[in-house]
Amino acid sequence: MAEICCEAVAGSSEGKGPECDTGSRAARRRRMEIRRLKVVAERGEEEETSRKRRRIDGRGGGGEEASTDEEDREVEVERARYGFTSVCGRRRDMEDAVSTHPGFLPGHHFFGVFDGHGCSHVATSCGQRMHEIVVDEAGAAAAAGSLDGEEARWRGVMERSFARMDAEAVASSSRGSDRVGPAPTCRCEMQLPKCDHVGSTAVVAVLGPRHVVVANCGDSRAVLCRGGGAIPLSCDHKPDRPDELERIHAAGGRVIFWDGARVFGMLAMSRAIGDSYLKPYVISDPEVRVMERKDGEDEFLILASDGLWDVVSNEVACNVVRACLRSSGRRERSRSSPTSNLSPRQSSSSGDDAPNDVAPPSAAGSESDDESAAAEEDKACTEAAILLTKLALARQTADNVSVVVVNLRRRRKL
Amino acid sequence: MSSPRHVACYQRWIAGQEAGLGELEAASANAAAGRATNAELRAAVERCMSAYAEYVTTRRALAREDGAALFAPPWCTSFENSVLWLGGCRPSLTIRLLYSLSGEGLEDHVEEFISGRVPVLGAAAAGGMGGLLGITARQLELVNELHRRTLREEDALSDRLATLQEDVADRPLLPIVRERATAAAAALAARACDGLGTRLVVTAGRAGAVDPEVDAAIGSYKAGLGRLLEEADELRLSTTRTLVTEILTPRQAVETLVAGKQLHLAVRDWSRRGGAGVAQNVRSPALTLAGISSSHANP
Repeated sequence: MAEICCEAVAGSSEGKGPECDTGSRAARRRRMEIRRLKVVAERGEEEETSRKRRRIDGRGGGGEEASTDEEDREVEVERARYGFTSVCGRRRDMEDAVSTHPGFLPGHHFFGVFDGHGCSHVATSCGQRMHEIVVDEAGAAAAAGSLDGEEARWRGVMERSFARMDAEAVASSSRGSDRVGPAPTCRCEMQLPKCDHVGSTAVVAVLGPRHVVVANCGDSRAVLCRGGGAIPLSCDHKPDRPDELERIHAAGGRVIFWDGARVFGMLAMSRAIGDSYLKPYVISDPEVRVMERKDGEDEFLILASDGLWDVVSNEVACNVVRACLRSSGRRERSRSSPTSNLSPRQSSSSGDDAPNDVAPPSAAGSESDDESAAAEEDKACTEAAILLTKLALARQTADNVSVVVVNLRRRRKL
Repeated sequence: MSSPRHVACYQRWIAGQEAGLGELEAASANAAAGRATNAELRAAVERCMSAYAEYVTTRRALAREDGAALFAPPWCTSFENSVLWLGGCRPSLTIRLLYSLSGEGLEDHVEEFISGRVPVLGAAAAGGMGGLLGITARQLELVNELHRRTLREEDALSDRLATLQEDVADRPLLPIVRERATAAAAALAARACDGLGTRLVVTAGRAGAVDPEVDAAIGSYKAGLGRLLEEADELRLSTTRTLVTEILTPRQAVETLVAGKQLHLAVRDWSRRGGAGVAQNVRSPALTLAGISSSHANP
């Protein structure tokens, strides 16, 4: 078994690597299958079984995988495989929020990164509320039975969701210190007028069976890695972006260069949730991108705050994540020390002797194999997110760093 | 005023920093050569933390005697004093140090990892620089939690220091100042009437003499400063202790402590180069050793 793995892995890292191998579906299928088998073998299954499965698969061709593209019914509910990190870094205030809600709608997963400014409370409430609002709006859109295509429907859902989120943020600010409910825990303590000067970016991705929907407002960013290339799914809303500059001027606003381009010399982004003091120049309308998923080509999705993107390019980020996903199975095999009992998404053991290590999980039967394979994929995503975070810190990012990595490769049923 | 006991405390601390650095560097070299067990590394870390805890205990007693003496001590250079926070290093400095260390060599490593020359990130890192490259997701999460908690407590102490400093323009000191000034003015006026324009007498009357009321007022501020210093020392100690004994592996802890001591001792030495001003003129070896000071409570 070990030999098979080595061959397969060596084969994939020779030449151009798997990312460039978009033409050879069969080769990739084989590789994916072997990765899966590797996990199976680790869990102590009979080597013979694995070989048999591999042979069966080798004969099987690519029929069922191709069909999942077209027929929605055939697409089994996909388990989300993702990981994230969010750290304060060199800043003294933590104003980033990350929100991940797998299965927030049937067959759909929600991921969001919110980078606050002025204070943390708008980003925090985006993290707590945005997915609920999207559920609400998606439900309303479905109930209305609109004849729009999926793309137009999602566009509407996202636009309405961002508008509602913004209205909530502004309303909670304008209540200021008169607000009811628990005392605010943020720095500004919701005292007017300061809490009026608070906002947040929002980049939200909804991963459905057939589409990736990305809605963005501000300068956080979503990047899709497809077929080896890095495709930004959002375009940062900077005040000096020509179309944004034009929009601001048309509304009667000014962009002043004061430590970079800023709306009225204050806010270094042209769209945001909150920031009612800069309306209507700073707006909360998202730009929405609905991408049809391309199985076999789509590798993963990265959402991050500018703490990452200021110092790491889209391409480098994709290369780092790809390397992590590629090596995850390999490391798992070479490791002899136990894994942690903590949630795979938030844990990983160095194999050194981190004080958090505990006994290895027991695994038996194909169901737990499936689970552990999925957990392994979560862990690879987490490790990718953490490596990007560490790279950003090493490159002296001065901001909070939040990174979400979502694996887009379809898993095949065991 | 710094008593001989303050000086002795610093002397011991600096000597301990130098000895501790030597020990930790040896442990680090042994670890790199694969000759040190985790138990040995853990013991080295524990000795370092015990010395630190002992220093904090000694300072606590000194702070209760005279809370102001450890703020901006005169035996520090102006540069050392300018980076002191409540009589020592900022507790969050330890986290920043860790972030900086965990980035050392990362660029090269990531490049090799991406290119496939290093197949497994963690394995290579473990053999590399003390495993600080290999900080795991769970560790990063714990470090981030510790960081945020430390920042909150640090800010709370900073706020209390601000209040205490503003309190100087209030009771109990200000009423005494006003009362004495009024009395002095009245005395001056009386003497002027007598034809004895002796402002000198009045001034002499204000300074120098023992004044229990004034001593009590200033003492109350000093006590406040002493309490803040104690809490700041506790925070410095607990942040470092949590980091090196609960979050980091022994190897990582050793590397972090080595870098912390290197930084402290280098700042101390380098800010004394070329006659850079130590407030007091330090010439004799004994004084130099004592003077070095600072409560740079860098672990």
